[in-house]
Amino acid sequence: MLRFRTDLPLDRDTTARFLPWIIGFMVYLAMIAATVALLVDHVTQRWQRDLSGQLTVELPGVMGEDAVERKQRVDAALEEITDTNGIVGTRVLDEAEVKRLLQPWLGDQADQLGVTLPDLVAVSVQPDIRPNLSELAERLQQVSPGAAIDDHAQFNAGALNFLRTIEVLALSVLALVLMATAGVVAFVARAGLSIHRRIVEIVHLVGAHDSYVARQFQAQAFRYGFMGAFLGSLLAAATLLSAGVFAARGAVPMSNAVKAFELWMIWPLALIPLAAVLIAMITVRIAVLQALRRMAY
Amino acid sequence: MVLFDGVAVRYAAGPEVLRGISFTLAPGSFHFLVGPSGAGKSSLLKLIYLGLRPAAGRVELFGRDVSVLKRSDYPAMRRRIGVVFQDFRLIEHLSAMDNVALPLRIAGVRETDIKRHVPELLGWVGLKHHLDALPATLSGGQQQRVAIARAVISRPSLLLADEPTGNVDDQIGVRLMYLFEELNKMGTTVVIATHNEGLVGRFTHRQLRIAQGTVKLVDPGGQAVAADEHSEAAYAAEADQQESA
Repeated sequence: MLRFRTDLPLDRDTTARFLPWIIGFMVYLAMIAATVALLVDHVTQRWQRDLSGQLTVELPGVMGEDAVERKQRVDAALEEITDTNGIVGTRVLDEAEVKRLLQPWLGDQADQLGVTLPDLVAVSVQPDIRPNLSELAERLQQVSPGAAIDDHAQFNAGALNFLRTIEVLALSVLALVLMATAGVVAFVARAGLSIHRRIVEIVHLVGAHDSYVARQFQAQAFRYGFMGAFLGSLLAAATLLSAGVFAARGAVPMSNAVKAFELWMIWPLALIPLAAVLIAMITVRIAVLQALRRMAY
Repeated sequence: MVLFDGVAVRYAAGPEVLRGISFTLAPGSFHFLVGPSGAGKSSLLKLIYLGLRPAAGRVELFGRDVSVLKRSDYPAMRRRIGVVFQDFRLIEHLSAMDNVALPLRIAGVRETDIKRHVPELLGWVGLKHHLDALPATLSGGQQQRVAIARAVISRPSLLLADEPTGNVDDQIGVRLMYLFEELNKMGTTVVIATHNEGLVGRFTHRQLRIAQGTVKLVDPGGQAVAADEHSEAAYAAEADQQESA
């Protein structure tokens, strides 16, 4: 497969024989790392978009207030909220929902504690408009003292920071894998040059430029790189498909993240094997030309 | 074509193996380079085919001082020089055909032309039935002829041969010498290094005699040639005379 005419018997080098497998393994690792980076980035963006469209307004109860007064206060607050530019919807959570949300802090017997539960309003925000929350907070204080707006900023920041860290780690692994590929390929090329020094000398003496010799190594790097890239891509595709199948059954950790895989992600992933072949060829050219410049002939 | 002026050769930090060497080879000339084994014939040839840099003095090839040549200039110079190495230096995994085709492929000659010219030349040196043979399957004499075919296939301006008849019988040796003479008649400058005085005596060419690290130019009768007589101009005139004759 992919045979080129060559003056150097590079295919017989034992050091080069494992190159397709090494490149294949590197491409596999790189594709898995890139998939993780893509999925995390995609999930992060989606989550960020969803959360940035939500606010919660807490309206604490007022001691001694009867049901009619409470309803009037909440309605006044809702009016202030809906009058705010960028807010597209409000929903007052019913008592059961509020109890469920507070259950971790108050337990199941919240009624018996004699605590007045606050009213919680879920507010939907137009994605491209940022409402003036400080001004809204001031207006809410007028109609419902102690009202507080929670835009989830603190929780968002922590979670996003965590996801970004995973993404950076995945990208770092990808970069390291590609650099390691370049290192291995350069090593094999230099070993090949050393093994075939005598033939290189002959082709030089009959008038070959350094680039003529380098092209022969590049042809080998292309051939082995292509074989390795093919193997690695095949294995990575099999792994991702399996992960997809298990994720659909909820059988793998972070199933939701795996399920976030979309078809468009195939294109950036397909660039990795191509990049591996290209990196192998460029690295070989640089390594061989550098080594040849140090040769006497 | 080739000019040596006060050239010395030294390997690493060792003593000078050649010193104070000055001579000129005119275009189209034919010289034997003679001397006992180990006298420095191969070293002198190495200087000419850019396989070695002089420790002192000046070497000019095709009118250019080799000390100022860049690495990227070497291939173009070497393509004008055909070399028959003493140890043949054939590429073991390539067939006789591919070994001979190597200089042409490097020079970018079309495959159709290669497939026409190479078998023709290999036929001429008596190897038309060995086109696909690997060097290891050929005798020493056959390998030598492959090496000679590789050296002359691209019609070099300068042909250097290091003991080219060392591994062949007298009949083939003389036949190869006639091949070199034919090339010389077509304008190729030829230098044949040999320690075979008998072979040298059968031809009427000038000799560069190496002894004790120095080189002396002598005529076929063994008389030293004066410096002005072997100047490039004198040789050019001589070459013209030979051509008109």
